[in-house]
Amino acid sequence: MPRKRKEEREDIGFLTTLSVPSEGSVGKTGTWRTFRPVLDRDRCNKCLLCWIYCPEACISKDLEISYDYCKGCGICAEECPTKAMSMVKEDER
Amino acid sequence: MRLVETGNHVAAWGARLARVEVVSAYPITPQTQVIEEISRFIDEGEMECEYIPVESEHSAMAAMIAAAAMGVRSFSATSAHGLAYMHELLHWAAGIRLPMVMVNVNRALGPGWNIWCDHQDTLAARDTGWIQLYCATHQEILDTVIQAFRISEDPRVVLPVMVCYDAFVMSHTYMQVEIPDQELVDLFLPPFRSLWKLDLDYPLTHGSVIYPDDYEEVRFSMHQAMDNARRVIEEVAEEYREMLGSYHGGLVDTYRMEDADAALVAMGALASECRVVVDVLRERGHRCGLIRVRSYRPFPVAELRELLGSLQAAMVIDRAVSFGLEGPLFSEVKAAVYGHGDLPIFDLITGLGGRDVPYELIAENMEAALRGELAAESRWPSVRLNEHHRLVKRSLEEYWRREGVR
Ligand code: SF4
Ligand code: SF4
Repeated sequence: MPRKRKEEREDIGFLTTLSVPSEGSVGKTGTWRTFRPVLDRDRCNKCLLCWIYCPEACISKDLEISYDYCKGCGICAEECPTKAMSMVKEDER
Repeated sequence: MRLVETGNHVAAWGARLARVEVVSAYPITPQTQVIEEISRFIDEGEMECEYIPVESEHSAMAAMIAAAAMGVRSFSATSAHGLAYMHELLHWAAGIRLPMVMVNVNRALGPGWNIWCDHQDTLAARDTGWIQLYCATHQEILDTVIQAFRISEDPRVVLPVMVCYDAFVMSHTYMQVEIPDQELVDLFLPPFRSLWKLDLDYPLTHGSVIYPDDYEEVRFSMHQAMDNARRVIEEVAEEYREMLGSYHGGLVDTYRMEDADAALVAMGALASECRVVVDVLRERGHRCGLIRVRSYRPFPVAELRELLGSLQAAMVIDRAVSFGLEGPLFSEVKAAVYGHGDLPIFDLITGLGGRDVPYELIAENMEAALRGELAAESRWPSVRLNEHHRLVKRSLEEYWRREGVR
């Protein structure tokens, strides 16, 4: 049987299982939401606890909520000391 | 400086000279003296190093991964059940491509608490992505630990390295060792510069979900890194010889192979003993040589082809077994020369659990093989029933009779 030449494969170099922060790498998780956080700016004292606690980094320091990625977990509303953040059922908005 | 030291203390000296910054380990016989000595070095201010005490080997490797992920030179030591216990994390360390060095003192696995030497522990960790280097002298332990950091941290490799040596025969015996000057070692082994690390300025994480679309390439990259390591191991050994004087071989080390027409193939301390076998066989008129496999992963495929291809016979000594097949080193030596020569290859599975392997046993079997009296397969030349086995059998038979077990 004739010997086949060893297939030359491209050197793909150093590759590892790192992940770098990037926006929405698993898609728009906002579609998972049942309740949406709604901010009442009049009651808000800008303590930014919601900003710190949001596990999805969906709340900006200007208290804009990204509804594209907010999963509706309710942590922001739970942590808010002034009840400025409340959770509203999606179909009741 | 010249010292007379145990293999374990010599390994600790290797870590010290490599300026290791973090050590995390859990004591286990016969490795304990390695980390005892390192603790002493740290306590006496001779080593600037963080020692992380842990409650298990699983945690030891987890701490090593954390330290290496911070870009810190890390070292550990373990043995047998300790290695088995950290097995999952061996995959993680290699899979996320972290350079680090760990000494494994080769010890048999239970059950039957057996603290003595064989190679089953590290051979069972073969496919974790760790480079495995096997030592045959105390000087080689020291030099290999230092070399291992260069290999592991080389940007062409970036894989963890296991430095293996035999329980008691090497770990607890005293031999003369030349300790190189720290300045020379510093020149040979510059401070560790990681290809990636956890860094607030470049945020990233490791080990999260990886999809079928991304996974194969990561494994292929590891495989190519192992391939690259062949060249790097050779280069590093050469450079070490030039800068620090000693040399123990590259992927393999050979003895009297120049005019040989038959060879023994072995790893670890038994390979040292095989030099005696070679001398004895030559006195009896057989042109025999020795190939000592230093690097089990990456496996020295090209070297074995070249060395074995033109020979008339070879005999592998396996200090482990792949249950249901044969000696693991035997399988791989055969695989390496497949299609590159048609010599018969024989195998002895012996020296398990610290069983003494007299050189005459190997010599007799090699002579029988050369006379054509053996089949080219794995043999267990030292297996025999002794009084202890018979006692247990008698008592079991008594139980079977009494309980009507058939
Ligand atoms: S509901 Fe959860 S995800 Fe959405 S903004 Fe609040 S804390 Fe963030
Ligand atoms: S936690 Fe409540 S009060 Fe504080 S910033 Fe957020 S919404 Fe405003």
